[in-house]
Amino acid sequence: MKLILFSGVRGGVGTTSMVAMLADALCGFGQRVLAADLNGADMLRLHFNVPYDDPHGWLAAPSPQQCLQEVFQVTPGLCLAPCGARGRLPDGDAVVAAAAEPFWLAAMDVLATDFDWLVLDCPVPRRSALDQLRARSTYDICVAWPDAAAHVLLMQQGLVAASRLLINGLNPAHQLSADVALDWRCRWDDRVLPVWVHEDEGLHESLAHKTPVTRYRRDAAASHAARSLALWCMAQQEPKI
Amino acid sequence: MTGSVVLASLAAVAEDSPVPEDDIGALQHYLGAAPVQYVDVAMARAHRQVLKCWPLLHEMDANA
Repeated sequence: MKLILFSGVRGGVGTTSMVAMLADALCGFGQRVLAADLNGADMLRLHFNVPYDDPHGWLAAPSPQQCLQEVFQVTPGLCLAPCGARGRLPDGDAVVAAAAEPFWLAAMDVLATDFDWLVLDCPVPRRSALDQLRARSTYDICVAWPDAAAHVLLMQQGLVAASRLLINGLNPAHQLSADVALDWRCRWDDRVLPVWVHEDEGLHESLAHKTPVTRYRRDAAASHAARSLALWCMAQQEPKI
Repeated sequence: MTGSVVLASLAAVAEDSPVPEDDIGALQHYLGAAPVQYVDVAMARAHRQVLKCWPLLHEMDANA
């Protein structure tokens, strides 16, 4: 089983949407995928039509070995592990941050026979290190919107070792967007993923329809990007950093 | 060696290469050369323009 970690350079850059569409795209290629939410806000479930007030999630599992009790099957080959209601409490972020890494490290051994891919939607690195999960990951992907604020944050923090940058929300018609993306390509070279996700209203609409963009609008640019990214992930033998 | 002969030879090398789509790798293999430091001159030039255009990007680059 291969592990993909997604985290945003900051909140609101579309990380959860990227997780939903990549998980669905991988499933579309016949892969067995479990997508899990490691954020207290517990938004990933909304991309898969899980009711807003549903309490289930991996935080409620009696043990990591029994995590499948709290997993939803979205479609054959695609499963979802929401965070759960405990993560949505006022102190949810702290609870999730403390529990996530040991839980998923233990759960991975159990899940390896049932899934080809485990895709984790993680908090921004500053809020949760998740170092051991990063060390186990096949791909550690940082999502960034090419704007000035994201550029400053990336330059301050740098890319976490071995992580790759996924550009989301690129608008080539906007000079700054194109220029920041070019700077990142020059600066980080092949650590910038070859698939860029262009600004696409379909992504926002798909969440409002509680479905990944790959199902909401199959021909949207973001859906094509998701399938390209899925193929790229499947084609790589070993990550080269 | 004419250009067409060189290209034909490179094509033959590329077919044998473990990474046939990698033209730089094929050239390196054909020449038996050390790893090639490939410089995208056009992109480097565009990057310099970007840094001139946006003071914040220039400042961050200078402090990198």
